[in-house]
Amino acid sequence: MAALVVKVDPASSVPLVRQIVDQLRVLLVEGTLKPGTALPPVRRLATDLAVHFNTIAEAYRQLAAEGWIDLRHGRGAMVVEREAPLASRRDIAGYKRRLRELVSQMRAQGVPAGRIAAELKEIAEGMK
Amino acid sequence: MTFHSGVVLSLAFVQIFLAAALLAIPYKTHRDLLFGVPVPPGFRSTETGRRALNLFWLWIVIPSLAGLALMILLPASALTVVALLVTPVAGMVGFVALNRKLKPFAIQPSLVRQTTLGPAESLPWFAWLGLGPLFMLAGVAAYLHAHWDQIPLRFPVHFDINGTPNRWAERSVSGVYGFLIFGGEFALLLFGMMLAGWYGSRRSNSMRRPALVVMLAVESIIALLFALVPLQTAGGFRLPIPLMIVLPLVLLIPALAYWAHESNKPRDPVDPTPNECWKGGILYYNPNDAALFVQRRDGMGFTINFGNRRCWLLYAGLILVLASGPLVMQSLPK
Repeated sequence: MAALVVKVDPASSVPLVRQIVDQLRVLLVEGTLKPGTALPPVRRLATDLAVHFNTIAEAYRQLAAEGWIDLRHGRGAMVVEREAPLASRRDIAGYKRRLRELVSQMRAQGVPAGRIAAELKEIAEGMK
Repeated sequence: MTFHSGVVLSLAFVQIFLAAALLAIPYKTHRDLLFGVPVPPGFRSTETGRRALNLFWLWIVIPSLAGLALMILLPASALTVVALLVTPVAGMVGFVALNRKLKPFAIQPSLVRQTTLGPAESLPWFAWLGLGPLFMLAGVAAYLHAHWDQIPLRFPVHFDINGTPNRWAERSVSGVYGFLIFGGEFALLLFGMMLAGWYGSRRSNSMRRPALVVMLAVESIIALLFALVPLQTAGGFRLPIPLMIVLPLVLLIPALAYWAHESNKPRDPVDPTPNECWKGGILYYNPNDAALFVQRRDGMGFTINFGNRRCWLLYAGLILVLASGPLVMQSLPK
């Protein structure tokens, strides 16, 4: 099971909200964060990560919009059961393009094709 | 030894203790920080580092000696108290001056930060002991109410440097309960600051627990002293002055020892706050940081994040308490 760790790097070109959303989504898809789990209160997480509380609030709102968490006033953020939506062909084409860019980066760094395929398979099956 | 020379001796001891504590600051601070500036490893042993440390000695030792001389040459005057303030003020000015001097050598600690999404943390059980001093003051008030007739019509509540009473209270609601109310306000503020310190600082900061203990000790001392004044009057007894000094120390010294034991352990990384958010290495202003309290860069625990609007609530509470102090004193006839 992956550790329940969230990390932020203010020096990164990736916006803080996206860094947090991406990491939480990985934990949700992998099932590390199970339905019924309460996420830390916005202020607690913002304090620990040294970011503005609006950053965490926005990240939670994005995950709620994706259907991963339920935001209720006074109850905090709770992970909920989520029906996997059907990805459109356009969405799949977009992901394929991003994957291609990532794989080409890996190949350029000298990672063998077989290793890349094995890694992708392991990640995808781990998120079932 | 007369009472007066005893007081001067005590103040001189406080002066020496303050100077020693201030001199220890650069050595108690995290090794990667020098006068609030994050420096490269080994910087302290460079010529610039050594010179800064020597300069700080001069900033402390010269004013301290001047203060001591003032205490001895002009005893029992207002200057005695001023002399006591010389050392901390000089220490602070020296710290800020050296912070500015070392800034060009600063390196930015990594701002990468991580946390765990673990279960919600609970307040340590002993934090609730902070309600004890409030109950104690309420208990004293109830006792005084029950023994109202035994309270003298006029009783001393404040003493000058020679131990002679210089303020008196009358057996009235403000005279009897004024001190208790003021002590209660103070204790309540400290209890609020304890909670704010726990919930408003990062979980990664290992000094949160020692900070709670020290605040608890300070709150208990304040409440004890404010409870003892009217209680002694009503009870017709007077605790000896040495006991009044020893009692707070019994509470404070173990708390400070625990604090010192836990502070600046090598395992603790420097709180990665942006350099540009520190003013003089002492004040922290970062509106983009949700923390209300952050690790200080001078090695003395926590400081407030002035960029967090909630800090003004604490200051409003402090101003309210400090403003009601003179009101209580003014209500007492000379």
